[in-house]
Amino acid sequence: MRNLFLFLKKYYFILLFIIIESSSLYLYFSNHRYQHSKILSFTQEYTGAIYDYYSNINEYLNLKKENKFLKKENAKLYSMISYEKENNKNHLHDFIPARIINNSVYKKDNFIVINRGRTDGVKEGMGIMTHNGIVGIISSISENYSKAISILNSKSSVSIKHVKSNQNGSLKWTSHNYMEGEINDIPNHANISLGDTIQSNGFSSIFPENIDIGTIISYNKGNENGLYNIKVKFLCDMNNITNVYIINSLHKKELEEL
Amino acid sequence: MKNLTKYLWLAPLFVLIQILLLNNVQFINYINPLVYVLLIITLPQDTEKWFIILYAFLIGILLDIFEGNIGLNSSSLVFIAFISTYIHKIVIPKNSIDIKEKLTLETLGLKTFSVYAITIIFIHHLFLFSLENFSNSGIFFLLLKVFLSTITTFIIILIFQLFAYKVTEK
Repeated sequence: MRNLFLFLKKYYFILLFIIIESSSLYLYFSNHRYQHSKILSFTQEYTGAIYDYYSNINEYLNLKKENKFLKKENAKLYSMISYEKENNKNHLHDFIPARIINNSVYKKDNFIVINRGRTDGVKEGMGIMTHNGIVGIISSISENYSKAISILNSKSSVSIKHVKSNQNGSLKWTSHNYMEGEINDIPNHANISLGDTIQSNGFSSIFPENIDIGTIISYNKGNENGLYNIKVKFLCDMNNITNVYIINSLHKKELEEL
Repeated sequence: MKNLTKYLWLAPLFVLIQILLLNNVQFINYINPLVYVLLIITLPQDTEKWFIILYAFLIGILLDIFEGNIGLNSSSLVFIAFISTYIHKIVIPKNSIDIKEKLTLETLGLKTFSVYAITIIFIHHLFLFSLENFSNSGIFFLLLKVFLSTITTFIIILIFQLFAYKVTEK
């Protein structure tokens, strides 16, 4: 027993280090498991409030630009409403306006924090978009804030279509460049050229159909598997967005039950 | 012990500087200064070893909570907290300074401080960025990022130190 105490006294520093280091590494590699989301949803309310306060100050610097941008968007939305009325379309999605209060684009797994939470009717798994592209998917929520997996995350994957050939695929983000995404599952025989538009295809019921996401900037035929390797330039600059919309897909539950 | 309580309230301050300012002024993809390492660097040599480890863990977990990546910052900070006690022995000449003294630019002199600080910053950045880009290939990108960020962090730390030096002088 005495020896044990002597041993602990001599090596407590290394033991303490090993215990704390391995538990942090375990938490890091068990990303997105239960403990992770528990810890974050507990602290999110406080971190969210700090980010919110800071972005309130920061926002004044961009008011003019933001105003111009919103006017442009309004005009576009008016035209969309009139189009829907003419065609008597079914109402498929509700939009909740929100503001981004924290965002990153330079990491391997980027996240977004927005100022809407459970009290505003946000639920996990809802999509976030701007007028010119897809931004992310909500991953955890607290009372007044929610966190979303950005499209610039190694785990994100968005189902898309190539408009000209109507081929479906999925858009991933693998590079370090926040303006570029990658598509690796469109077959070789499809007719693809530079500058073609990529749109969302609405299969996942998270995002509405036909939102422009980006344009093709380079492609080459993969040799073994018969699939294209396509690089896409996003239309929206993820480093420079403030106002977004959370998409509440009204038919999502029905679609999932099929 | 009085010194250590000062360190405790400096921790949230540096965390706020990091998340609100430095994380937003990344100039290009390659440069990401992480100035909070300064807190571990300047701890006096006679600090209780358990305090260094737990203190590093505290700063790390605060950053992790804000950045949404539990474990990333805390593991890299705990790692350099552990390593730093050995680096003291190698880099800092014996009897050159009092072990109760803080390890700053003022007490160590530019040459020793640069060697000591750059070693720790480099190990920290290498550990953190490799962990972050674990499965991503591109060793060239990783090394470039580590080198450029190390230099930037070091320069910012020097500026911090010069500023603190002037304040104490007055």
